[in-house]
Amino acid sequence: MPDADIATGTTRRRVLQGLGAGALTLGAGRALGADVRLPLPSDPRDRPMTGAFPQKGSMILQRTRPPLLETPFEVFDQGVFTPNDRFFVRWHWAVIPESVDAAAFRLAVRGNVERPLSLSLEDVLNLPSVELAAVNQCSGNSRGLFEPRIAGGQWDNGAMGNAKWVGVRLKDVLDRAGVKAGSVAVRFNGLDEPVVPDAPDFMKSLDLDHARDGEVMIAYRMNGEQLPLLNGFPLRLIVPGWYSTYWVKMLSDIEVLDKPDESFWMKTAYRIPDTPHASVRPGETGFPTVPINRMVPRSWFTGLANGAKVKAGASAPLRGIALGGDRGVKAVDVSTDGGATWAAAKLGADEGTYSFRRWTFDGAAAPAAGGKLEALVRCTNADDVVQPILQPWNPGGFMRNGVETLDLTAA
Amino acid sequence: MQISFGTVAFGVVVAAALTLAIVGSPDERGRRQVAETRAAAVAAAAEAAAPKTASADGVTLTSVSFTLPTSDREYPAGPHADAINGNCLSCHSAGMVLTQPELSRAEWQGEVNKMVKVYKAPVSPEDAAAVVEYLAQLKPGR
Repeated sequence: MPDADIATGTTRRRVLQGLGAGALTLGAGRALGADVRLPLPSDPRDRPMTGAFPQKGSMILQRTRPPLLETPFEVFDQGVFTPNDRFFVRWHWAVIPESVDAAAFRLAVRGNVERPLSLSLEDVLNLPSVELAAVNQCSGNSRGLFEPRIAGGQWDNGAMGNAKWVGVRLKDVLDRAGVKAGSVAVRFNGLDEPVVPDAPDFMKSLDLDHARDGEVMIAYRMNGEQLPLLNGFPLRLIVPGWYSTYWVKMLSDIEVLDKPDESFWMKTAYRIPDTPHASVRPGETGFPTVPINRMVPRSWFTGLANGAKVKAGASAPLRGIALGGDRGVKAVDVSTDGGATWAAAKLGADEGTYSFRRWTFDGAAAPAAGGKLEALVRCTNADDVVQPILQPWNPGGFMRNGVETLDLTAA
Repeated sequence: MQISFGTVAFGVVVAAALTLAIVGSPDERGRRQVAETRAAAVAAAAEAAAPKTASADGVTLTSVSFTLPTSDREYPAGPHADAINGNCLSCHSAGMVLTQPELSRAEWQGEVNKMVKVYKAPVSPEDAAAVVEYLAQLKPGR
């Protein structure tokens, strides 16, 4: 009875609107979109800022329901870790629990296991804890910057964040349940649900060996606090070095599978071309695809934005952040001659393989006579994977990682 | 559906008031009983009002309860706006569509097909065609 179900969703929405007459209802009675202009290649570029979401500060509103909240880029200049109240938010389905009872919550571990488990949060907290810094980046971060443009969440570069995660090893939880021989994958589900029950519930899976690598963890703390509701309270899967789609929020169900996961979010959605740099020509069809997986290196300028003025005849104060992807940052290099030559930037403290790393560069001389200064920044990771100068393209708008350019004016 | 802490606390206070009404007694012993009962009710209400927690190994996780913002933004007026407003606000707010770049009719047709066939949006074929018509005329951001 899909008609009845969608009517329920509509009714619920109207009820919430009734409750929220005013403060909770966004966008009532005014034109939207004048607060921030994102540097996208074409309209619409304007977005409202919002401070209306629980446990969140000022965020770029990409979509109210289900929420897509982007971190304003200046936050990445303020420190290598992203504050919880500025950390980006992305949900697929609109039925998101608004209350979570820490005493009643249970995490199920089931499927092809010797001993199915129903773990309370106390059970989870009593397992050995581990801490890891890791960047959580949306597969479609920066999708709005692709040309040709691609349908989907029109993010600038702020669908990412870095946090110190504390939790328990997924391996320890799986060992407690006893994975049976013949198991091949582990599937993860959270408390969110589609509005239409027939729609594919959001679930993701990892190969068993990956799930048991000792790094994949179930986090209950983020930057020293419990997770914000919208970032997955009380438990979230952390898959270091892999895109955020695998980092299942409000993790409530772990299912060990004895055959590969054939469900929608693995078999059909979040697929990338199985080609170098996941690159295809716009319009190309017939290429093989694989599930999106490891992150690739990226680097950004922070502090100075395109069009900023710097002092003529002085060294431009270039700085930013870099991400190695599934390996650590080996080097960050800057070019001021369009990529013909590169010079090493100075790297900041190493917070771990999967963390952002700060960089600074004082070798970019702004012309004494004034004029333009163009700088490029490029990250090389510990596997010697380098950011491409020319941005590859894929139909999902995933994995953007081309070299970033900063245009400055010396005066 | 979770019962909010406020509801639980309210229930405890109501129960305490009923208890007071029943226990109420004019003599000294009765007054003491009333006072004790009232103190117990206040303590129970405070406990019920306090968020439930899970603690172990020096870490405490505290229950949370919020109301997420919603949106009353509708699609700009135009031919077939009723079709998109009637079919496309249940699962996602209009901002999802109104932040999209200008897409071709074929791309919009693909998006609507995905919503109906993959995401099971219960939209009639007539309304789906009207929604595609609306989207093909959309000039986002202008």
